[in-house]
Amino acid sequence: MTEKEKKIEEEVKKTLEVLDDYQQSQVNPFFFAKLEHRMRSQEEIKTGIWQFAMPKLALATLIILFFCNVFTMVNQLNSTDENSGSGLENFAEQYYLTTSQ
Amino acid sequence: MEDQELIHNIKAGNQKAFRHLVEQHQQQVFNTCVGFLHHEADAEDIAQEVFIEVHRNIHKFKGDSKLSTWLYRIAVNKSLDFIRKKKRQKRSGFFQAIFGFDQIPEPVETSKGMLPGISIDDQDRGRVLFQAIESLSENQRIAFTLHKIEGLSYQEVTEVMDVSLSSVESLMHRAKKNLKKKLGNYYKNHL
Repeated sequence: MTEKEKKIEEEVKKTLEVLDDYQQSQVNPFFFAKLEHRMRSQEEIKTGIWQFAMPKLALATLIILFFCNVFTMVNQLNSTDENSGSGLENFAEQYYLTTSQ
Repeated sequence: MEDQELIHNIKAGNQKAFRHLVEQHQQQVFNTCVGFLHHEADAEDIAQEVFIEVHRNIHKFKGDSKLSTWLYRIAVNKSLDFIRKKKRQKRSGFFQAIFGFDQIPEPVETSKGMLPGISIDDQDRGRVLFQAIESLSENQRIAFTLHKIEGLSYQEVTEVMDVSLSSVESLMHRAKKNLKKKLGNYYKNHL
Protein backbone atom coordinates (compact mmCIF):
# COMPACT_ATOMS: atom_id res chain seq x y z
CA MET A 1 0.00 0.00 0.00
CA THR A 2 1.42 3.37 -1.02
CA GLU A 3 1.71 6.34 1.31
CA LYS A 4 -1.17 8.12 -0.44
CA GLU A 5 -3.45 5.10 -0.18
CA LYS A 6 -2.70 4.85 3.52
CA LYS A 7 -3.53 8.53 3.95
CA ILE A 8 -6.79 8.10 2.03
CA GLU A 9 -7.79 5.15 4.18
CA GLU A 10 -7.04 7.12 7.31
CA GLU A 11 -9.12 10.09 6.09
CA VAL A 12 -12.06 7.82 5.24
CA LYS A 13 -11.86 6.23 8.70
CA LYS A 14 -11.72 9.62 10.44
CA THR A 15 -14.66 10.92 8.37
CA LEU A 16 -16.83 7.92 9.21
CA GLU A 17 -15.93 8.34 12.88
CA VAL A 18 -17.47 11.83 12.88
CA LEU A 19 -20.82 10.19 13.57
CA ASP A 20 -19.49 8.52 16.72
CA ASP A 21 -19.51 11.93 18.44
CA TYR A 22 -22.80 13.08 16.90
CA GLN A 23 -24.77 15.21 19.36
CA GLN A 24 -28.56 15.17 19.20
CA SER A 25 -30.07 18.64 18.70
CA GLN A 26 -32.41 20.09 21.30
CA VAL A 27 -35.91 20.94 20.18
CA ASN A 28 -37.13 24.51 20.62
CA PRO A 29 -38.83 24.87 24.05
CA PHE A 30 -41.70 26.70 22.34
CA PHE A 31 -42.22 23.93 19.80
CA PHE A 32 -45.78 23.15 20.89
CA ALA A 33 -46.79 26.82 21.07
CA LYS A 34 -45.49 27.36 17.53
CA LEU A 35 -47.24 24.23 16.32
CA GLU A 36 -50.51 25.29 17.93
CA HIS A 37 -50.25 28.73 16.33
CA ARG A 38 -49.59 27.19 12.91
CA MET A 39 -52.52 24.78 13.22
CA ARG A 40 -54.82 27.59 14.33
CA SER A 41 -53.82 29.87 11.45
CA GLN A 42 -54.33 27.01 8.96
CA GLU A 43 -57.77 26.45 10.46
CA GLU A 44 -58.58 30.17 10.20
CA ILE A 45 -57.58 30.24 6.54
CA LYS A 46 -59.81 27.24 5.88
CA THR A 47 -62.74 28.80 7.74
CA GLY A 48 -62.08 32.13 6.04
CA ILE A 49 -62.31 30.55 2.61
CA TRP A 50 -65.67 28.97 3.48
CA GLN A 51 -67.03 32.16 4.96
CA PHE A 52 -66.02 34.02 1.84
CA ALA A 53 -67.22 31.43 -0.63
CA MET A 54 -70.36 30.04 0.94
CA PRO A 55 -72.84 33.00 0.90
CA LYS A 56 -71.88 33.95 -2.63
CA LEU A 57 -72.08 30.38 -3.88
CA ALA A 58 -75.38 29.84 -2.12
CA LEU A 59 -76.88 33.02 -3.57
CA ALA A 60 -75.69 32.23 -7.08
CA THR A 61 -77.08 28.70 -6.86
CA LEU A 62 -80.42 30.03 -5.62
CA ILE A 63 -80.68 32.54 -8.48
CA ILE A 64 -79.82 29.87 -11.08
CA LEU A 65 -82.37 27.47 -9.59
CA PHE A 66 -85.01 30.20 -9.51
CA PHE A 67 -84.53 31.03 -13.20
CA CYS A 68 -84.49 27.34 -14.13
CA ASN A 69 -87.82 26.91 -12.34
CA VAL A 70 -89.37 29.96 -13.99
CA PHE A 71 -88.17 28.85 -17.43
CA THR A 72 -89.54 25.33 -16.94
CA MET A 73 -92.88 26.67 -15.67
CA VAL A 74 -93.34 29.08 -18.61
CA ASN A 75 -92.41 26.35 -21.09
CA GLN A 76 -94.80 23.93 -19.47
CA LEU A 77 -97.70 26.39 -19.56
CA ASN A 78 -97.11 27.26 -23.23
CA SER A 79 -96.91 23.67 -24.31
CA THR A 80 -100.07 22.79 -22.34
CA ASP A 81 -102.02 25.60 -24.08
CA GLU A 82 -100.84 24.48 -27.52
CA ASN A 83 -101.52 20.84 -26.82
CA SER A 84 -104.96 21.48 -25.43
CA GLY A 85 -105.85 23.63 -28.50
CA SER A 86 -104.69 21.11 -31.06
CA GLY A 87 -106.30 18.27 -29.10
CA LEU A 88 -109.70 19.94 -29.28
CA GLU A 89 -109.45 20.48 -33.03
CA ASN A 90 -108.37 16.88 -33.57
CA PHE A 91 -111.33 15.68 -31.54
CA ALA A 92 -113.74 17.86 -33.55
CA GLU A 93 -112.33 16.65 -36.88
CA GLN A 94 -112.50 13.02 -35.81
CA TYR A 95 -116.25 13.27 -35.05
CA TYR A 96 -117.11 15.71 -37.88
CA LEU A 97 -117.93 18.49 -35.50
CA THR A 98 -117.23 22.17 -35.86
CA THR A 99 -115.56 24.03 -33.06
CA SER A 100 -116.39 27.50 -34.36
CA GLN A 101 -119.80 28.92 -35.22
CA MET B 1 -50.47 7.62 29.60
CA GLU B 2 -50.38 4.48 27.43
CA ASP B 3 -50.25 4.84 23.64
CA GLN B 4 -53.69 3.32 23.12
CA GLU B 5 -55.30 5.55 25.72
CA LEU B 6 -53.55 8.58 24.27
CA ILE B 7 -54.72 7.77 20.75
CA HIS B 8 -58.25 7.11 21.97
CA ASN B 9 -58.34 10.50 23.71
CA ILE B 10 -56.95 12.34 20.67
CA LYS B 11 -59.55 10.66 18.46
CA ALA B 12 -62.18 11.91 20.90
CA GLY B 13 -60.93 15.46 20.29
CA ASN B 14 -59.00 15.90 23.53
CA GLN B 15 -56.45 18.66 22.87
CA LYS B 16 -54.60 17.98 26.12
CA ALA B 17 -53.92 14.45 24.92
CA PHE B 18 -52.56 15.81 21.65
CA ARG B 19 -50.30 18.18 23.54
CA HIS B 20 -49.10 15.26 25.64
CA LEU B 21 -48.28 13.28 22.49
CA VAL B 22 -46.35 16.21 20.99
CA GLU B 23 -44.38 16.84 24.16
CA GLN B 24 -43.60 13.16 24.51
CA HIS B 25 -42.35 12.71 20.94
CA GLN B 26 -41.21 16.16 19.73
CA GLN B 27 -37.55 15.46 20.48
CA GLN B 28 -37.60 12.16 18.60
CA VAL B 29 -39.40 13.61 15.56
CA PHE B 30 -37.23 16.73 15.47
CA ASN B 31 -34.00 14.70 15.69
CA THR B 32 -35.13 12.40 12.91
CA CYS B 33 -35.76 15.40 10.68
CA VAL B 34 -32.39 16.96 11.63
CA GLY B 35 -30.70 13.64 10.84
CA PHE B 36 -31.98 13.80 7.27
CA LEU B 37 -32.01 17.55 6.64
CA HIS B 38 -28.96 18.77 8.64
CA HIS B 39 -30.68 22.10 9.12
CA GLU B 40 -32.48 22.94 12.36
CA ALA B 41 -34.99 25.48 11.05
CA ASP B 42 -36.07 23.21 8.19
CA ALA B 43 -36.20 20.27 10.59
CA GLU B 44 -38.46 22.19 12.98
CA ASP B 45 -40.75 23.12 10.12
CA ILE B 46 -41.01 19.51 8.93
CA ALA B 47 -41.43 18.23 12.50
CA GLN B 48 -44.43 20.56 12.84
CA GLU B 49 -45.84 19.16 9.61
CA VAL B 50 -45.42 15.65 11.03
CA PHE B 51 -47.59 16.51 14.04
CA ILE B 52 -50.15 18.31 11.89
CA GLU B 53 -50.46 15.15 9.80
CA VAL B 54 -50.72 13.04 12.95
CA HIS B 55 -53.55 15.27 14.21
CA ARG B 56 -55.31 15.10 10.85
CA ASN B 57 -54.89 11.35 10.30
CA ILE B 58 -55.06 10.01 13.82
CA HIS B 59 -58.14 7.96 12.86
CA LYS B 60 -55.94 6.06 10.34
CA PHE B 61 -53.66 4.80 13.11
CA LYS B 62 -54.85 1.26 13.80
CA GLY B 63 -52.30 0.42 16.47
CA ASP B 64 -50.62 -2.32 14.38
CA SER B 65 -47.26 -0.74 15.16
CA LYS B 66 -45.96 1.34 18.04
CA LEU B 67 -46.88 5.02 18.02
CA SER B 68 -43.18 5.96 17.90
CA THR B 69 -42.69 3.73 14.84
CA TRP B 70 -45.58 5.46 13.07
CA LEU B 71 -44.08 8.85 13.94
CA TYR B 72 -40.64 7.79 12.65
CA ARG B 73 -42.24 6.70 9.36
CA ILE B 74 -44.05 10.00 8.88
CA ALA B 75 -40.94 11.99 9.85
CA VAL B 76 -38.73 10.05 7.40
CA ASN B 77 -41.25 10.39 4.55
CA LYS B 78 -41.79 14.10 5.17
CA SER B 79 -38.04 14.75 5.35
CA LEU B 80 -37.39 12.87 2.11
CA ASP B 81 -40.29 14.69 0.40
CA PHE B 82 -38.79 17.98 1.51
CA ILE B 83 -35.38 17.02 0.06
CA ARG B 84 -37.01 15.97 -3.24
CA LYS B 85 -38.90 19.26 -3.38
CA LYS B 86 -35.67 21.19 -2.82
CA LYS B 87 -33.95 19.23 -5.56
CA ARG B 88 -36.82 20.01 -7.95
CA GLN B 89 -36.54 23.70 -7.02
CA LYS B 90 -32.83 23.52 -7.68
CA ARG B 91 -33.42 21.93 -11.11
CA SER B 92 -36.12 24.45 -12.04
CA GLY B 93 -33.77 27.23 -10.89
CA PHE B 94 -31.13 25.82 -13.19
CA PHE B 95 -33.51 25.80 -16.18
CA GLN B 96 -34.74 29.27 -15.33
CA ALA B 97 -31.14 30.44 -15.38
CA ILE B 98 -30.53 28.73 -18.73
CA PHE B 99 -33.66 30.10 -20.41
CA GLY B 100 -33.23 33.51 -18.85
CA PHE B 101 -36.48 33.71 -16.90
CA ASP B 102 -36.72 36.76 -14.71
CA GLN B 103 -37.51 34.99 -11.47
CA ILE B 104 -34.50 34.53 -9.26
CA PRO B 105 -34.50 31.02 -7.80
CA GLU B 106 -34.62 30.72 -4.04
CA PRO B 107 -31.38 29.59 -2.47
CA VAL B 108 -31.80 25.88 -1.85
CA GLU B 109 -28.34 25.02 -0.58
CA THR B 110 -28.69 24.90 3.16
CA SER B 111 -25.51 23.03 3.89
CA LYS B 112 -23.36 26.17 3.98
CA GLY B 113 -24.24 26.92 7.62
CA MET B 114 -23.17 25.01 10.70
CA LEU B 115 -24.12 21.36 10.64
CA PRO B 116 -26.15 20.51 13.74
CA GLY B 117 -24.80 17.69 15.90
CA ILE B 118 -21.26 17.94 14.54
CA SER B 119 -18.43 19.59 16.51
CA ILE B 120 -16.83 22.73 15.07
CA ASP B 121 -13.58 20.89 14.34
CA ASP B 122 -15.39 18.22 12.32
CA GLN B 123 -17.67 20.49 10.27
CA ASP B 124 -15.76 20.00 7.00
CA ARG B 125 -15.54 16.25 7.45
CA GLY B 126 -19.21 16.18 8.40
CA ARG B 127 -20.15 18.01 5.22
CA VAL B 128 -18.21 15.52 3.09
CA LEU B 129 -19.79 12.61 4.95
CA PHE B 130 -23.36 13.91 4.64
CA GLN B 131 -22.87 14.54 0.95
CA ALA B 132 -21.75 10.94 0.56
CA ILE B 133 -24.75 9.73 2.59
CA GLU B 134 -27.09 11.77 0.42
CA SER B 135 -25.77 10.06 -2.69
CA LEU B 136 -26.67 6.59 -1.36
CA SER B 137 -29.83 4.85 -2.57
CA GLU B 138 -32.92 5.90 -0.60
CA ASN B 139 -33.26 2.69 1.42
CA GLN B 140 -29.56 2.55 2.28
CA ARG B 141 -29.73 6.16 3.33
CA ILE B 142 -32.79 5.63 5.55
CA ALA B 143 -31.30 2.54 7.23
CA PHE B 144 -27.91 4.19 7.73
CA THR B 145 -29.35 7.45 9.08
CA LEU B 146 -31.78 5.78 11.46
CA HIS B 147 -29.11 3.45 12.82
CA LYS B 148 -25.99 5.62 12.87
CA ILE B 149 -27.48 9.08 13.52
CA GLU B 150 -30.72 8.34 15.37
CA GLY B 151 -29.20 5.43 17.24
CA LEU B 152 -32.01 2.99 16.47
CA SER B 153 -31.24 -0.72 16.76
CA TYR B 154 -31.49 -2.92 13.65
CA GLN B 155 -34.75 -4.30 15.03
CA GLU B 156 -36.23 -0.81 15.37
CA VAL B 157 -35.07 0.05 11.84
CA THR B 158 -36.87 -3.05 10.50
CA GLU B 159 -40.09 -1.84 12.16
CA VAL B 160 -39.82 1.69 10.77
CA MET B 161 -38.90 0.53 7.28
CA ASP B 162 -41.26 -2.44 7.39
CA VAL B 163 -38.63 -4.82 6.02
CA SER B 164 -36.95 -7.96 7.38
CA LEU B 165 -33.93 -7.96 9.65
CA SER B 166 -31.77 -9.53 6.95
CA SER B 167 -32.77 -6.71 4.56
CA VAL B 168 -31.66 -4.09 7.08
CA GLU B 169 -28.37 -5.94 7.64
CA SER B 170 -27.83 -6.07 3.91
CA LEU B 171 -28.75 -2.39 3.46
CA MET B 172 -26.33 -1.40 6.23
CA HIS B 173 -23.54 -3.53 4.81
CA ARG B 174 -23.95 -2.02 1.34
CA ALA B 175 -24.32 1.51 2.74
CA LYS B 176 -21.02 1.24 4.65
CA LYS B 177 -19.26 -0.30 1.64
CA ASN B 178 -20.57 2.40 -0.72
CA LEU B 179 -19.68 5.16 1.72
CA LYS B 180 -16.10 3.92 2.01
CA LYS B 181 -15.88 3.81 -1.78
CA LYS B 182 -17.36 7.29 -2.25
CA LEU B 183 -15.21 8.83 0.46
CA GLY B 184 -12.15 7.07 -0.94
CA ASN B 185 -12.81 8.58 -4.36
CA TYR B 186 -13.37 11.98 -2.79
CA TYR B 187 -10.08 11.96 -0.87
CA LYS B 188 -8.24 10.57 -3.90
CA ASN B 189 -9.09 13.83 -5.67
CA HIS B 190 -8.78 16.15 -2.69
CA LEU B 191 -5.53 15.14 -1.02
